[in-house]
Amino acid sequence: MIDLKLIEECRSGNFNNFRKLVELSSPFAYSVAFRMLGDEAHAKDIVQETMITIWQKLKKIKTAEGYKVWMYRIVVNKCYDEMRKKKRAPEFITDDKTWEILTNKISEGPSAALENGETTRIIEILTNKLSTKQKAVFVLYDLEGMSNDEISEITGIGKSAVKANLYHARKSISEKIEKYI
Amino acid sequence: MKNKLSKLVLFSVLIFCVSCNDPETTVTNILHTDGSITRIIEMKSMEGDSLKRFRIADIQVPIDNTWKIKDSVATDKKGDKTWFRRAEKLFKNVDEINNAYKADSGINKKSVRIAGFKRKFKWFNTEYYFSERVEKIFTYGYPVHDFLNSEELNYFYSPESLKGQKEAGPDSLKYKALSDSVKNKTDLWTYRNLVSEWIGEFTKLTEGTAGNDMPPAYLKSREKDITDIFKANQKNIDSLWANGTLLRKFIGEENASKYKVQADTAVDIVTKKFTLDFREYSLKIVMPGKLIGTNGFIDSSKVLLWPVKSDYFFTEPYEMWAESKTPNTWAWIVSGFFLVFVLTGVTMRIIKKG
Amino acid sequence: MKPENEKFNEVVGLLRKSRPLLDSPEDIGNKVIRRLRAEKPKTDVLSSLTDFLFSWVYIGWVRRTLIAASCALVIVFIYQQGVILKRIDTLSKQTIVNDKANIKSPSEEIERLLTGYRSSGHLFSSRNITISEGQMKDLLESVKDLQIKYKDLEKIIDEDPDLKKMIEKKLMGIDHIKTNL
Repeated sequence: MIDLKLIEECRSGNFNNFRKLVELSSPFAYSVAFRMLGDEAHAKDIVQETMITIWQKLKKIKTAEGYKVWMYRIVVNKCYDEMRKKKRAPEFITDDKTWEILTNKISEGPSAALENGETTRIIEILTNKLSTKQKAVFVLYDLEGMSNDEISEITGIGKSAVKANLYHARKSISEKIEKYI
Repeated sequence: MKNKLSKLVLFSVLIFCVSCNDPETTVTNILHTDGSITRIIEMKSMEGDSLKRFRIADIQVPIDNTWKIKDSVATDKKGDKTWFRRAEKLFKNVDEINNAYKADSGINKKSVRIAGFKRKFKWFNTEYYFSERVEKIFTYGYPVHDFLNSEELNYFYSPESLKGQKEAGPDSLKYKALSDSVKNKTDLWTYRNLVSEWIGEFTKLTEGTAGNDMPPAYLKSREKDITDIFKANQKNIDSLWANGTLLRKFIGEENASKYKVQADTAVDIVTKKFTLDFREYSLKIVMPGKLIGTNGFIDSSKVLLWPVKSDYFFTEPYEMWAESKTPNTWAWIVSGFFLVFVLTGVTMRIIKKG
Repeated sequence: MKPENEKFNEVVGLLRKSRPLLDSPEDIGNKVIRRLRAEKPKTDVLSSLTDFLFSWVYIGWVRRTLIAASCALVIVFIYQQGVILKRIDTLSKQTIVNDKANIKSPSEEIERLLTGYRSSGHLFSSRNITISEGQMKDLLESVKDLQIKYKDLEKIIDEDPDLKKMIEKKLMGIDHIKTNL
């Protein structure tokens, strides 16, 4: 994804190179933020804040791999802060239309794809009852395709805790899927 | 006549021994943290003749003209004079004291005395260990603790002033009885040591020549019998030894005639060792910092005190030691800062994480 | 009826495929650069100093090592002080001597020499000794005093036959070395 050479160039204070870094990194950061928060505007804000923090602490990055984990860690932590600020969600009301959309998309087969708004609603109904950590683990593992080790480094929780959170998240989501689809 | 002669002899010995103890000497070692020692010798004498007073040959510890010396005199109501001498010297380390002991030309020159010093850095504290040790006289003797119980041992090693206090105090009867018990047992101890030493020296002299006549274990096994014979014949021991009676009782007729020379030589060796010239004195130590251990007596000014008497190193080395500690302030500060630093970092991390 | 796992996998697969798209990464880049340019350089010395001093906290092995070292230091301190306090406590029970008391009592040195004299019959090689007139007077007075006391004692014993018998019996029984006075 990111070249260490590019990072080195950014360290020298070159805004142009940093712009390039932002353009390369932001889609990945946006994907995680959007799936966590379910809101475009908030997700974009998170990405901006993340990039500013990266600029301020560029000296800490030693390797390209290190950059990736570090970037995701900042995104996830900022999402946690945002999620805490949100008022407690009202008791979930079954959204039949969303389930209908999901059922239809599944029956369309492998070519089906969701729009951003649909993704938001589906993730929201599936993860409504999960804790922030469970949600983060589910998004990073099942949706973003990261490994246990990477998730452990990003979230700061142990590998066995990652597994436990993932298990509970999947169980909750499976139950809902079973009930409504 | 007999009575008067005996009394005179007794008191002559007493006087002799009183003047044996002239000058009355106290040695104070003030230890410094760098291992140097300020040694102060305080002497008291009733000797009227100024040429004989504080003669180097009569002094219990090494002293020479490199010391700072100060003299004074006090006269009591009866007109008797007492002379005082105070000598002080700074020794850079214990090696200098040990060299002085080796070069000693005083009355106690034949005793082997060694001073030792150790300093241990233990981060929060530095510990100091100082000792003065007198090597034993007898080779084949028994330790006194084989004869005395712990209370008696404590009494045995006590300074005279403490014994006097106890015997004049509210438990005077108890301490007088204790004193008698210690006296009886140390008498027995002395006899056993004399016999044991004689047996040891005699065995050494006859080794190789004695063959099957007197295996070393044989004499050793008869030690108690020999001691009893010795004690029972106190009154005329000289004549009984001279005519060979005692020796025949010890080792049998045949051996007595064969090994008379070696037996006499062994007696001479033992007598020479036993009558080692030693004039007693007191030793004091002042340690740096706080005292944490000692085998001495602590006086009212927290100075450590030991009497130094030949009895104490008769059959075992006599070690007078003290240990103290001083805090390493800088180490405490550094450790404190380190702990605060780590605690702050960890707390900040917990807060940030939370 | 599809099995549970299969439904879950289908839903997750659908969500994974439908990656949220960031429509304008350049926009974000511009906004970030604009903000960075507008920001005044931070002159928060305290913050940078804190970061400098405590950055080790985020390095796992350094943090664990320092915590272990702190614990070891505390344990060593407690142990050392405990040992010292115990020794000082033991020391406080040790005998205190009033060496200033001018108690005169026969020195044991004299006792030992007497024993030596009695047992070996040898005296030391002759030496010249001198005593003062005062000492001589004291000596003669104590001899006189002893003689008077001895006579009194003899008189008491002679006047009481029972006492005399008891004393004679005791003297015969005791295995003592007596100096004939």
